[in-house]
Amino acid sequence: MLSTATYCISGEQLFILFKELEDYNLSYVYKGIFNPNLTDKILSLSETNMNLTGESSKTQKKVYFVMVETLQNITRHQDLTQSEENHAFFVVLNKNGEYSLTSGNIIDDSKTAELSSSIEKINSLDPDGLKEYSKYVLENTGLSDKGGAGLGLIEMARKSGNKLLYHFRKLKDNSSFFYFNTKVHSEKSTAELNNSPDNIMRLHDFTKEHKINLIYQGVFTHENLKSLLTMTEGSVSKNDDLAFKRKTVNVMVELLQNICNHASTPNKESLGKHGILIVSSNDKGCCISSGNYINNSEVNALKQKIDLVNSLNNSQLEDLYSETIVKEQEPGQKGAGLGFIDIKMKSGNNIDYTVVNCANAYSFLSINAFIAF
Amino acid sequence: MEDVYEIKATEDTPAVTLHKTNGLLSISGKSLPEDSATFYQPVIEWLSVYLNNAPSSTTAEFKLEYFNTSSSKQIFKIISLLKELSKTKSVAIRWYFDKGDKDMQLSGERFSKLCQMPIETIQN
Repeated sequence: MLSTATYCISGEQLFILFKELEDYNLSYVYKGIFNPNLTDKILSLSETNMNLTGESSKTQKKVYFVMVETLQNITRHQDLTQSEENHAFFVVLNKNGEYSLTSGNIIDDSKTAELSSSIEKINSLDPDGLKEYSKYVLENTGLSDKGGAGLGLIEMARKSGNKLLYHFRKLKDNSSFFYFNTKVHSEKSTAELNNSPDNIMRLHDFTKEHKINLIYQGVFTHENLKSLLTMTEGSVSKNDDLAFKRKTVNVMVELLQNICNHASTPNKESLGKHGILIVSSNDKGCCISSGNYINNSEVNALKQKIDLVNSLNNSQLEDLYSETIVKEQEPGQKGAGLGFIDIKMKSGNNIDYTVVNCANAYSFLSINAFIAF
Repeated sequence: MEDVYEIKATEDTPAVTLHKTNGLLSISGKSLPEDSATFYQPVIEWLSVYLNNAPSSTTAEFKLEYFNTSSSKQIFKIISLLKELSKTKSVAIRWYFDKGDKDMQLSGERFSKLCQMPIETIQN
């Protein structure tokens, strides 16, 4: 058995990240390989969120458009020969009606000047100028070798109504990491434009440091769960081991359904269950981390449950499974009471958990499950 | 009771086919519903009625890719009903798993032990 805590982000670090992101209605970060299937899932995840927060269809359409363009840009321009650390990167943050969408990918230094001047040209134009320019490019430019028409950037500026933000971060050799950000504001937006790329770079560094593939912070519903599962299935599928992939998804289902069933939401209006999910992987395996608030009154029972599961060997675990499955569910009981048993059985490792008391009636619970290759 | 009862598969719920005349029960795909008790209730109700006028032999096939723990409780109930039926009629339960999916194979063996009912585990 491997020590889960050694390979996963610590509960304290997860809580710090959650606190940082908590004010956002949605935070979504993905680092890895992008493909059309992943794009579909990111879109459907964002759509579910926007519907839940009652976003107008006008804003939804704008966000959707910019998101599709951003994701297609990454899919086209990602460099699949790069090591995992330099994989492409995508972030959606939503706060008070401001949607901030950022892509990041490695770029050869020989191309940065041309790219900057394309973006600067777009940023120098007013809406009428952009309209003219869009028409001009459409009529006069052929498709570029990667299949883009150059129109994408112009249309992102037009649809969003905002300037395009970008930043090159120098890497070793002759390359840089190119961060590209577009913001969309809803009618009710109260957000101040923050043009600094520092936040995004900090988030990027955090994902690199902890070998994180995916962060999702926001509302957890059964609809979201399906998108998150497919994304994770995709992100671990570079490993062709079917058993590993199935174990990972199974463990994740139980952790996500725990959030859906048991999370408390002290600081949010009751739009749904709020929490955070992180998927990270290293050369030993994959770690699924979940975090959410729970009522202090539930902490002891929960600790006892996990401690009991952790203390059992395989055959004792089988006995506990048998005892639990035959029990009739109590009225109102949402799960089968088998979740933690199943997580330990499937992962083959103890469940690592941390409870941070939040000085009110709530505690923050983080759970790590580690599935070895 | 209807002779054939069918539920189509979705992204997170399995395809279910119950065929009274042929004595066939089939559950396949992913079983990850939010509320498993509600999803499986009609299946369990159909089976409970079926027990009283079942043909001489029944075959149940489970071809699952994923199932959550709340589904496992319902699967346990279904197999328990089939066990009941096996006291008077012939019942065969087949549990399929994909090559390499040791956990799914073990689940079939676990249900067999739990319900004290023979379950044939078959690699797809």
